[in-house]
Amino acid sequence: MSIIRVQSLTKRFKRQIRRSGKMSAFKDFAFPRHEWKDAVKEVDFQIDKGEIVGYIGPNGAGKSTTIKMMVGILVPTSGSIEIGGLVPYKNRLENSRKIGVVFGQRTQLWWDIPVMETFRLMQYMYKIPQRQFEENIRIFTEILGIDEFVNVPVRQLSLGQRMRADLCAALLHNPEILYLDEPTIGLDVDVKERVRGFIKEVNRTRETTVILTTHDTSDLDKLCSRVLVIDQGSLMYDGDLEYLKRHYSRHDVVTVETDSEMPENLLRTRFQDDFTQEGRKCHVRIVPEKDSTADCIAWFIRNGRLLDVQIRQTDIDEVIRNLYSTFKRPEKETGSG
Amino acid sequence: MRLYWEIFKRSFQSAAAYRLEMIAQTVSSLFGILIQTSIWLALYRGNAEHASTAGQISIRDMLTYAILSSCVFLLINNQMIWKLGEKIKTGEIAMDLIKPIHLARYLFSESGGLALFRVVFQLLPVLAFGAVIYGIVPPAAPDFVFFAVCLLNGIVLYYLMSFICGLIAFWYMVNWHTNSLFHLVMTLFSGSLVPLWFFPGALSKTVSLLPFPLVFYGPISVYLGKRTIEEEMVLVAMQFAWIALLALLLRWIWGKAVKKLVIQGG
Repeated sequence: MSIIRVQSLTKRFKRQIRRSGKMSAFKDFAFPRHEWKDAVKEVDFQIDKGEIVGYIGPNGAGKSTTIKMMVGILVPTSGSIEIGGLVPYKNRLENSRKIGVVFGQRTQLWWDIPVMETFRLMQYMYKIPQRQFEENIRIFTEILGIDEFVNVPVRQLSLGQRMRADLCAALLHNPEILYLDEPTIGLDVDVKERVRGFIKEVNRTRETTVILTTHDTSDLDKLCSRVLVIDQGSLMYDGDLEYLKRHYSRHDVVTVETDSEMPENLLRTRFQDDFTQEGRKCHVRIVPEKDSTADCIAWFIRNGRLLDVQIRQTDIDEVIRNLYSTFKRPEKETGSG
Repeated sequence: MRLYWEIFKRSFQSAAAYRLEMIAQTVSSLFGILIQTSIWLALYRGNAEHASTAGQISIRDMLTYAILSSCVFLLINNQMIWKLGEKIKTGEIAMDLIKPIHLARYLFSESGGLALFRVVFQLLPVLAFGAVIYGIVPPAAPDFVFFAVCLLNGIVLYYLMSFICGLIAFWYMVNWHTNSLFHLVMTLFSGSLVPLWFFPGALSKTVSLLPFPLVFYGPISVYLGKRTIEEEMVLVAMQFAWIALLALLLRWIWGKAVKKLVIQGG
């Protein structure tokens, strides 16, 4: 049974066109011109209870606009959304009790007072029963390691601490759906791991449905069974993450540093054109069907003294770019009006 | 109700984080009192009394008026227009809209907590300073009860007016001029600087129909015993009427503002 149903969802914004050239500022002021831009265009998807779905796409693709419509603070231009049987923008208050939201760039914590005080405020705001509140605090503070700073004012917290506290605050009322907008942005590896573990745990034990936007591939790897890819407002892919990566990430890049510069001829005989040289560093592109990373490194070991090896997998933005170039028209559409 | 009480407490608590700001504000309101009292002393120039539309006003009445006016300002000052403007500009308003709260009530509780903090740490010192240096006229007991009611109503009225003006930011991003216009009108018509009893008769009559003097001039003139009991009752009735009217207006504009936001995306 789908908890989220989105049907041919479209959001169109009017925005002013800024001219350039002589007297442009004057013209913009006196005769503003506008264009219509579809931030989200005919998007369809359904999400079942208990799924963790990654909602990904480049900056400005329409992710946040979609999420804003799902939480009820933006009205669709056309199409429909139903969240647990409710139309979010018509039932904003009712919907707000059933959802938890964390925007990575913002905080809902009260800035000048200890974290715990915000948690207590949440208790009154969402009318959380005392027992549920205490139990959630106990479990969450343990998994997230919040106890150590629960009495510190929020403005004195590090970003990682603040993010953990924000996550906790968003889940105290046992929301059915959790929206996370870049929850791991700017966090160190350790905290990222902790945040992911927490999301996973909440999803497992409470069947919380999670919608997550991110630019971090490992977030998707570790959390999501399914991804939705959006670009320029259109949904381009809906399905398995593995399939997406296998088909649209074309290559890995191996960077090898040797103690002396490798002769270019030698490199060319092994890698043809799939390499670039940068002094003692050498970047090699490995296409999985033709070559393997292990063979490549073995070759370097045979032919020189290795100082350092780095393997970089295609990141998700690159995957999306590849996806994009497979399907898309070469030019961007622009309307006017 | 519990929620709003909790917000009130937390706001009081978080105000404590800004000690230096509090001290600076106290100093500036002391200066404010000094300036105003000096002006009135100069205007009276040795005369003990001046005639007005509310009878004879002694210099002590007038000095008390100036000091109380500064105190009322400390109570009502909430920077709501600026606060709402920032919320719109930074998009923080989105976070408020996804919570199960009424923003106007939420912010009212918040500014209440802040006001209480100022009462303790600013208003009392200012009042003590005024009483020691200039001597404040003590009110008659029945007047004081009406004064308290009037003052509370005045706080609510001011909040409603400033919140409504703040909502203009939903349509026009830049709202500092809303802010300065509002403060200008307030200063002119509320009697915070010059009591309405020194206004020319016709102007005074017109202005008293507006909500602005109900915040400053109303309560303070009651305190000074310049009104008969009937006049005091009319005053309180007017305050309630304006509160009801403005609350409805606020609700109506708020509905429009949210609609504007959810359609155009702020």
